[in-house]
Amino acid sequence: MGYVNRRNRTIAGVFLLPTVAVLFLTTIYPMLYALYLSFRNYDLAKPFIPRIFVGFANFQEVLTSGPFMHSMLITFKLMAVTLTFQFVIGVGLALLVTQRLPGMAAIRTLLLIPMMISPVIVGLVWLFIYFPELGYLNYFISLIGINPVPWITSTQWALTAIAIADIWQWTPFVMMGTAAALQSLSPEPYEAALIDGNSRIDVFLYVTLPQLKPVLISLLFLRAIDAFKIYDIIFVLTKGGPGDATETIALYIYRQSFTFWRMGVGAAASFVSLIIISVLITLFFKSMQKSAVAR
Amino acid sequence: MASVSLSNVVKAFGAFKVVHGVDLDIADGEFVVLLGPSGCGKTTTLRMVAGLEDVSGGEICIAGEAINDRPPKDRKIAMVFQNYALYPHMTVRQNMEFALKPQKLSKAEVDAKIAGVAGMLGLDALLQRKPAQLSGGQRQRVAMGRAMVRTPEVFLFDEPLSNLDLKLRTQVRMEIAKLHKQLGTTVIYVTHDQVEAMTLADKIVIMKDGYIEQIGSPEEVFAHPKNLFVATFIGSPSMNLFRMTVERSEKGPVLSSAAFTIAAPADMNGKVHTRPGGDTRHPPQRRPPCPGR
Repeated sequence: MGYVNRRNRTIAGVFLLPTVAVLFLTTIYPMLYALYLSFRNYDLAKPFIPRIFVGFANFQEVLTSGPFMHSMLITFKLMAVTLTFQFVIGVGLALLVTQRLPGMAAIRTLLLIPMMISPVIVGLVWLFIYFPELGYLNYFISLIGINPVPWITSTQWALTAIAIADIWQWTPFVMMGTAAALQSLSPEPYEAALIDGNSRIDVFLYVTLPQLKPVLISLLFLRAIDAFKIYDIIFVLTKGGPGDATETIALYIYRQSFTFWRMGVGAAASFVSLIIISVLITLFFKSMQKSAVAR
Repeated sequence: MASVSLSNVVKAFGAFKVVHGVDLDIADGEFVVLLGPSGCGKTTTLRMVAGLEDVSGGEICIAGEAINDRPPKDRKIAMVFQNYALYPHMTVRQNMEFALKPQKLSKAEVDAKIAGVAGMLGLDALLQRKPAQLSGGQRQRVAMGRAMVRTPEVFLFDEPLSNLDLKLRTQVRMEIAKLHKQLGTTVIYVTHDQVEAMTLADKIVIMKDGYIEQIGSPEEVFAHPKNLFVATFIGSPSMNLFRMTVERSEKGPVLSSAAFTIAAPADMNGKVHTRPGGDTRHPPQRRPPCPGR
């Protein structure tokens, strides 16, 4: 290595240092500390008790506990429902807003608004809508003679209510990504199909959808990670309740750590969910690569 | 097979007219080339025949039936696009199958049609490949194959060879000519390349700025251009033009320039008049005999 090269490396290192320091302090150190905690018995309610090493006891507790498995089930249920609706509606809207019709640009911008609102505000907005006695939704359904529905206060409806709010917020994201992909498709194959007389459904299923596949997989991957850690909307709307009806993994970890003050168990649960989401990411990447090879 | 006729066909985008009342008759089985510089309206005219553009005025008939308001699929046409327009994620076979899908044929019929066309175009070995795995020439052949399996009455080609290199262009051009002989289908072919036009066409339609400048056989437009534009557009190197002055001599009128003087064509006799200012001009409308040859 020559002098200049070595000197450049040193300078590069100096310039990178602040970023590395911030990254270390905000991400790496807390993560390592959490890993340390996950093997300790740390009760924040009794901070003076020594944090003794307990081995895999925390992990064992998490993996064998009913509430954790329940939160996992709730998370995946919510993911399945929200992602399905977000993609079906999102792709549909993308097809609509990419049509050359007057006013589409404005509609497209309007449709993006939910995505630009912070999730806590989205939660508050939907809280106004769902509020049991004074909410807008119950007011409007009372106008057509339907009895008020306990949207966020019954175990039957709470998860649906949260799913609706999440679908409302994140469908525009899918729409935007899909619309961009649609606009990059070359128009000639569509003209060829028009001349051949292929039906619209056939064109969508056999021409559009296969070409959108790589983009849809990427979007699904991004949305799945986001949906897996859903927290804000639920915290504002139901705080995981009623009971544990809407307690997702993030809420479970929060409850263990900051309601029951069991930091060790919370940390262990975090790592279990990290492993699950890492496996998910790997699977998604694999299928992405496969579809890239297939092209 | 079918004849095609365009009468007073107009295309306007808003107030902007791009095709100004085109009249054209194409006989059954004829190979017609629309030729002209970029932006002359040839592709727009073709797309109106295909139904990919609305007709702003006039009437297009295929096999004697007005088809202005018919969707592209009901016009018994097939089109080959400049950039092939193949479905990128489908194999060659799937591309052809998808083109046949609306006809709702049996599996055996579809296979027979694909086998027939693949044999004719030499695509047998490529049927399982995707467009990305094909060369430009092969893609163009597949695009033609996809158009041919549908056994249309009229083939439309939109600059099909522009994306190929010179050698391939010559080769595919010959294939197209051979296919036309073999199938006898009516062809409308758009190009800006006069070599293609001269070698392929039964009839060349030369267009400029949305107007037809001349319709005629390749020999006709080459030897007897109707106007200055056609005269300079056709032929490479293009025709020499001289500004001549008409003068009187003992033998009758002569055309003279600074370099040479020739006898005026016989049909100009009696048509030349002297203006009071002494300025006698006749624009050179016909190909003047070349003094050098």
